[in-house]
Amino acid sequence: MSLRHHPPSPALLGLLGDAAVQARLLPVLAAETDLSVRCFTNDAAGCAQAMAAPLRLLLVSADLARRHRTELFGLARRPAVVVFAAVASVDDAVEWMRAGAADYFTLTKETLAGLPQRLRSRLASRPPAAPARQNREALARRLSVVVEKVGDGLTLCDELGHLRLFNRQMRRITGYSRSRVGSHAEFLHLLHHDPGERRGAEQRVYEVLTTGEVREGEAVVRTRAGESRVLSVIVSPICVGGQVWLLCAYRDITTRKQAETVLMQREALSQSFTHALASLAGSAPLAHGDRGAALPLITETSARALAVGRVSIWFLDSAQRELCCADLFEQGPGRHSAGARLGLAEAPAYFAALFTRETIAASDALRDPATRESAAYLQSLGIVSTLDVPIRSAGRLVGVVRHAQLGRARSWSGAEQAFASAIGSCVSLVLESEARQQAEAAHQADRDRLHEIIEFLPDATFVIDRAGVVTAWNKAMEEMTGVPKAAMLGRGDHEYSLPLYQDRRPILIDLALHGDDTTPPQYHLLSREGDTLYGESQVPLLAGGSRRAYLWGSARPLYDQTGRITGAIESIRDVTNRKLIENEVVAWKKRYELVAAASGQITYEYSLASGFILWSESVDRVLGYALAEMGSTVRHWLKLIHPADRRRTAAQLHACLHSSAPFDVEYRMRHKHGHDLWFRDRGYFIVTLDGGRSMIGMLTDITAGKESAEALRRAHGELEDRVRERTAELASANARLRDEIGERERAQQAVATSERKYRLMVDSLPQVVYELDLQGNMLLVNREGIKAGRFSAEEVARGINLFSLVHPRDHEKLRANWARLLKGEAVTGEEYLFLRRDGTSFPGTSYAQVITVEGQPVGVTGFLIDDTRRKQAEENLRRAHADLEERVVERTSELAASNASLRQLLQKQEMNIELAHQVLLLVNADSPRNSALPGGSSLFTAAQAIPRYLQGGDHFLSRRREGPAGTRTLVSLKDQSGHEVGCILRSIITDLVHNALLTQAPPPYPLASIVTRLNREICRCHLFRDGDFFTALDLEIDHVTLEMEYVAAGHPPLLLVRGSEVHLLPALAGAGTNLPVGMIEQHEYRSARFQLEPGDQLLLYTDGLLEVPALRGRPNLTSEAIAQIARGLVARQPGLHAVPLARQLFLAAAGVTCDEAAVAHVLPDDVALFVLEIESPGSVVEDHLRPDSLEALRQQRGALMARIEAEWRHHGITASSMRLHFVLEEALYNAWNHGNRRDPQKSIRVRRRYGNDACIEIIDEGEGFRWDQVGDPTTHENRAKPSGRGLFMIRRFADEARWSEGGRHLTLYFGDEKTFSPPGGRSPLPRFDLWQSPHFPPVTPVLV
Amino acid sequence: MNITSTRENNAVRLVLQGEIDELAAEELKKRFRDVALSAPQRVEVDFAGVSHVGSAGIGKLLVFYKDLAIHGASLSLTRVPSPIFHLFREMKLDSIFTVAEGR
Repeated sequence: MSLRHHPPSPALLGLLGDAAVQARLLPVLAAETDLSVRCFTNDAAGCAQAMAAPLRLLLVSADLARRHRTELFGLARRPAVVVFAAVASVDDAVEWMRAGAADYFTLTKETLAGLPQRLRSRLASRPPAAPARQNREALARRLSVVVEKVGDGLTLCDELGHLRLFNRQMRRITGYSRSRVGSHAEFLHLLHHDPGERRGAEQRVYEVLTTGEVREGEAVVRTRAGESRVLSVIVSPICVGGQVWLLCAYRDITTRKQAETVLMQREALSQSFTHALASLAGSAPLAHGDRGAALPLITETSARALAVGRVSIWFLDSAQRELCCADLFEQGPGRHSAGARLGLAEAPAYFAALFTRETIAASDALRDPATRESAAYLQSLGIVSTLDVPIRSAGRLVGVVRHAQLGRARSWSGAEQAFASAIGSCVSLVLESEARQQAEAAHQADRDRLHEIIEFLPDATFVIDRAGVVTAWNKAMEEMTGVPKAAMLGRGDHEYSLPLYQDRRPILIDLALHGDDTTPPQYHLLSREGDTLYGESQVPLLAGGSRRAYLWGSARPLYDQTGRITGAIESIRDVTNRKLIENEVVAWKKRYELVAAASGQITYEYSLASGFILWSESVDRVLGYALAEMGSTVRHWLKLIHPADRRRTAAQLHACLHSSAPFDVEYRMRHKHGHDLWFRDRGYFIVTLDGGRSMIGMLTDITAGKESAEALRRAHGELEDRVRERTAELASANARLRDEIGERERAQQAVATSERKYRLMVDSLPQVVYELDLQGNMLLVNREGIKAGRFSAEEVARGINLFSLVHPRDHEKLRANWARLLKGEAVTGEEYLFLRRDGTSFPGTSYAQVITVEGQPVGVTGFLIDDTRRKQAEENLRRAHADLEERVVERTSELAASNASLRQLLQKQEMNIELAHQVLLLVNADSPRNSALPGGSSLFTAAQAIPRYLQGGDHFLSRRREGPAGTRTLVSLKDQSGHEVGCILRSIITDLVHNALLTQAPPPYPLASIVTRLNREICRCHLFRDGDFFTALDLEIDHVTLEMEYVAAGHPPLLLVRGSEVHLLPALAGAGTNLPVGMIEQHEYRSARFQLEPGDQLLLYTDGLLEVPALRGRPNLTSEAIAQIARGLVARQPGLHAVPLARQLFLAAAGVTCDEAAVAHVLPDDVALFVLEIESPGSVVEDHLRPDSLEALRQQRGALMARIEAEWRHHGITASSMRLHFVLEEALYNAWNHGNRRDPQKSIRVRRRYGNDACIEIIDEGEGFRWDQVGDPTTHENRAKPSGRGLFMIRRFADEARWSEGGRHLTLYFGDEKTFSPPGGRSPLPRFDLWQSPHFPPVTPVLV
Repeated sequence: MNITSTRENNAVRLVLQGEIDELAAEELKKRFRDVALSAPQRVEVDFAGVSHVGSAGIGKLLVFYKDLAIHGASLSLTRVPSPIFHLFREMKLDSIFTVAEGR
């Protein structure tokens, strides 16, 4: 039934649908004036009416179309049918389009909006009127010929889905014939086995039918023969007789697609290579030249990029005769290894190819001439193809990169060979980066060391750049000027002259920088040597000073590598003291006459209690040393003694110390100027007020006596001859006069006898003796007078007046003195110029007094000293002084000139000292810190070395020794003389020998015997110079009995602290006291024993501790004073442990803390402290943890850490909480995860005890582990592994870590942060111990 | 443990804050994996706010590095606090990826 009637028109539409559909569609279509709609009932009758009506389009609901499919689509002549549905469905659409529908749409708002236009499009595509039958047939024949010959496969499908066309090319492409494929749908089903492909083809058909547009695409089809082919498909709608047919054109593009695939694969490979090379180029190991990390990265990257089984990198040895594998990566197991070798003799052709070819690409490596020599080796590894790239560095072959293909043979493409070459270049880059990094590191180290040297140069030093801006201002400069570095760095415009001269002016450094030799006014001395300038000036006032100062400076330009001047450096030295000393020398010259007569003797006092020697100030005058240079110990004294006399003298002293007999020895001592003087040393023991013993002694310079002994002996012989001659003359005279004097002789016999004696004595004197009357006439002159004046006996007998013997210039002086004489005054020490008889003169000094008889003057007597020799000596002294001054200037210049070389030497020595220090640590390995003792006690040992310089002569070793007699702990503290590298090397030798002896002689070998053997070996060792020796204090404690055996070899006694009592061991000259080691080979050392108790503390120290008060200008301490300080400390703080006691003792003695002194290097001598304590078992705090998750473990660990930190504060433990955090995290996680396997039923016990160290024990309930087999995470093979660092961190942050009970029980110790910590620092890895039985892990050979 | 990340072109910057213990390391692992899947060219991890890192955290860093290196990306740790920086140097991690000390 129609609802609405429209006049017939060419665009008449029919609508078959129910009322609801009509209500939706009619308003849409009614508005269009060019469309007319006729509605039919939605049933069979309506359908029949519609098919009979002259409609151009019939709109049919999908439901009705499905019921009347045959009527609607099976008739030859019918209107075009458009199907619509309420719900969209692709399958529905395909079904209706395949059935021959002109269009298909759904009743959505969007579709309805465009429906009129869509219907117009369908109307417009209605074909024109059919051509005449004949024309159609002719055209069809022509088209058929064309279609059969066309190059593409063609199919034509009518509106019913029947194939109307299936051309020859289509048959050739698919292998199917038209008769076989059936309908178009069946054909698509045959072609497209893949459901996805099939859906794609159907979608294309649907789109063409619904849009009326052409669709293109590609499809993978399967031919009748089963081959897969790729076809391009073009589907076009064709109107045939008012129906829409589909024309499909197929083209076989399989070959083109294959070519495209190959190209894409190549592109992907190229991108893969590019990414791989980019990642290598950007990686840190390559950039940093870290060969260890870079080589594994290169082999891994190359293996993945080239998809080969093995990549290895080999390097040639220096002789280029052997290749050694530096890294091999096997991609299958993902494993790295190294170490294989290949010699030239094994593969000469391969080596020849490496030297001559860019790449060696062997697709068949077993037969290739270059690689077949190793066929057996390659076969054993399954290698079939190889690609080798030589590595060249600086134009020289250094190695090869090998890529090995496993399994199936492979041809190497050009891109792959190019990539392999790039990999070789990467290795070259690593080598060059490594060399560059090493060079840069060395260069940086040089610059750093130079800055450090400048900073710590004893001379005030600063540096300016070319613009005159200050770039360095060292510590000594700050001290000299008072201007801090921060205020001066970066300043220019002669700012640096302000603190020196109070104004801005060019100074020495400016002259050196600009090559100017003009002398500025402030310099009174300026000289040049090469490009170095030297100058002296006087400055108004230096920082902290109170008077003008004299400065000496040297300056020179600085050059870069090209020789260009980059700046200048100046060193300034305050030589005020030297100037004052020079002035003092002049003053001393004037005093010479007063001191010349003084005798040269040195007195001293040697305190046996303190071991110190106090010297008199005359040391400076006699030996040339200042008091400070003399030192204050026996060791210093022995060093000054001539080596040939040293052992004899030391042995004599040692004997006297035991017997208290007087000490009387003659020996030579070295004067500061280098020559030797003979001394007689006489010492006597006295008891001091405090009950101690001291030796009071006197050194008498007997050099002159020794030298003149021979001369005296000769003079004595001559004197005896002269006496005999004189006696004979007197006897002869007596005989002649005997008769003349008769009775008178007898009467005057007594007088004559006296006169003879007097004459003999007077004539024997070396001075001129004279007697004058009151007029000055000579009455008597002795033989020396006649000799000095060159008189004859007759002239004397005729009489000579005093004034004729004195030069006229001195007559006035002589008259004045003569008048004083006559008044009764003694006139002594008057100098005159005396005249000889021959007219020559000589200087002399007269000592005269008047002769009185009964109170009246009757004459003058006196003696005269010829000053000729003294004057000559004075002249010699003056010349020597001038010469000395000249030598001082020369020496100063020499010192300045050698400054640079000294700096270099210092630099080398510092490096050597550091190395020597490390060697010493290696020799002595790790000291035991906490040792368990029977009964729950423990023995604690720790040491602190505070060297004066980088490293001193103090050294110590501590070992736990096992032997048949049980376990003992040995401690040896030694003090080697000197601070130089040689001193440290001798320390190393000493400890090396000592350790070897200890290893050879386990307990119960007596300690004294070991020290005796050590002394013998040191005395025999040619590496020790004559005079080298060391003091030592060795002790050994039995762990069971706590008995201590000790040997003191010239070393200060140790402190024993028991409760509030402090004792010295050994007591003064008591048992256990011995000579220093290295002096007398035959000396037998003796030990003493002492029974220790739990709670006892021992403090060992070197003699440097006694000198630390010098830091505050205070006198040295004695051992007893040290003990007294300790008594005060333990009285005020009962229960003080050994480490805090030692720290506080040092602070009390030095006024600075141990760590401050260790950093500042300000001590007068090295100090080493070694503490031991037998710690009683204290109270234990214990926690039990049972975490059931990682979160719970974190919470329980946090709470535990807070408790432990509170305990540490309470017990004065200063270890940092950061260290505790690291160790607790790793240890608790290991116990929970690896030990208890995360079982919440199992507990983790955490025990704490406190002594000198904080002790933490962590015990799990697991099966344990082999802690000694955990690898080192810093090695090449382990470095990149994500696990295996827990133990490393535990050892790194705890002072001591020990595993027991198979690994279930971990004991940790934490000590002080800065002092008394392990000598070599906390070690993250177990240290090698030279003296333990070696344990070598089995070595598994690596096959490459 | 706080992790924030920003991305600019092919560069990712991760800022870590807090302590990296075993638990935090697990969280870090997930974030690292996400970052690695986004295929960046450069990754910078800012350590300035990290007060502690245990062996588990270090392990996750190394896994992250490997994931990145396979795709040609680089990893750098910046502003690493001094104690942690010296620990990394002692373990020679600076030979594997870039480690810069903080001020």
